[in-house]
Amino acid sequence: MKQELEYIKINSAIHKLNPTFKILYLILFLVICFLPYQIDYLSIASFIIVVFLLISARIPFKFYLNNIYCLFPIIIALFIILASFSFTLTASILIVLKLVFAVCLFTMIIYTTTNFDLSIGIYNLIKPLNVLGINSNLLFIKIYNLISFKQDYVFKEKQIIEGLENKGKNIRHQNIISRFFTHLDLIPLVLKKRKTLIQKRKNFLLKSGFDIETYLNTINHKNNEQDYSYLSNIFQNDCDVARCVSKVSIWDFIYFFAFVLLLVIYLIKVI
Amino acid sequence: MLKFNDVSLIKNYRLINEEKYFIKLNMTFEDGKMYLIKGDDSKYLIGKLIMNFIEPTFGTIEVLDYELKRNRYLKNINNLRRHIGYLPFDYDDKFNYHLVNNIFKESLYNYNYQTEKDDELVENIIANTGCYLDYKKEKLENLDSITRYKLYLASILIHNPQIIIIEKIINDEKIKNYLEKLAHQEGKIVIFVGNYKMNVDKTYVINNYSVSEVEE
Repeated sequence: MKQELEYIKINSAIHKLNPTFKILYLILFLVICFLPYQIDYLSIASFIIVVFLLISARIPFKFYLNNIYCLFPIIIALFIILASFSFTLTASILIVLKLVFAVCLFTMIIYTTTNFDLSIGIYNLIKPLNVLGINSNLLFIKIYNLISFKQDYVFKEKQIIEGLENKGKNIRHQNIISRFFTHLDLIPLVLKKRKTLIQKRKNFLLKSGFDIETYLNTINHKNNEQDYSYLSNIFQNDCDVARCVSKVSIWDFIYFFAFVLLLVIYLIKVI
Repeated sequence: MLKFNDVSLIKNYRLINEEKYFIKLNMTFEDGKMYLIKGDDSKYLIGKLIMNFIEPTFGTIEVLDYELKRNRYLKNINNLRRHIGYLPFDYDDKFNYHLVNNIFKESLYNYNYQTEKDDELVENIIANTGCYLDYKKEKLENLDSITRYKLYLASILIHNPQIIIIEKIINDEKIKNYLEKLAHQEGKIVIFVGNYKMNVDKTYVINNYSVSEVEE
């Protein structure tokens, strides 16, 4: 069975890491690997850190391989283009490996972080850039809606298809071409339904007095923890996990400093 | 006759994120009787299994003359679904209609069931369930939730199914009497799903992946 690219609920060290740091790792990895004046051993050192992260996540490697397999034609095409032009064979392999490891790290973040946590992570990162002073709750909800687009779309489409099949329309037992056109037909209806879901979510959050800043401040202090059980209605139990992972652990800093160290070595070498 | 033989439902079987719903479920539903299924959230998967929206991981489900099991492809699934009336608990999200007329006519035409007598069938079912309205003109958005419920219920009963699965019940004497009549006089299987207090012939309780039965 093919594993969907979505959160996998297991207990691992990476699941407990802070989502903001996880996104930072990806950014730092991309910076180290794709900066000009490449230093090979630094790239290989960053691969080792990524491998260590992947092992600690306890997600089976076949899940990552499935995702890489989807990108296989692109990887092969890239390799051929690089090898046949100015790059040497070793340099081409290294660039392809960087792409593969970046995909693995990205999918690892998706597998180990709920949509709610990921939204918190992105919110924390872009909060300092919010110079226009957009309402923090609205900003958070918009990030969440964007991240959970696929999840919402699949959920709503499934509901509609079940409703149609209940009334005698045969969809899942059709051939692949008919199924494709049925899915195409359903797009406007699913988007309309998703819009209603988003509106419902937004209204509920704003009416219930939810404030993202208060939430982030209180979950980090156990003694001052408020009851956010109502959030599970709209975030599909994502927030239960968010309570523990929003704290910053020692491991967050260890991985972070490992990446930063590589970046510092790079800068020293280049300068 | 509806029978669950050692039915197990396990999502992501043998993967790290394996989720168990049922393990070796055995249930029998006889014609002309009313049943109630109580328990945890997995009870709402029973209707989906019977409608073949999801497949059991192990075991078989005997529905009338059909046998449902994993990777069993039914060439014309509508021949099975025509005999089942299924009202899911989230019916308001699942059904998308503008005109009330379409709610009734769609299933009749999709199942090709007595289409020449469609108006007669609609008027008959409307009288039986008590949702009186001008069904040819009325728009769904103008109706209150109880009328909508009655409409959806009437629409799943219009093609005369042998198995009726209802996941949401309202306190309405007329509907209760009609469903009782369908079960005891016309020999249909009526299954209520939900944690309700009802007078039924048998109650199944699903908890911790297994089922236990309670005789009324």
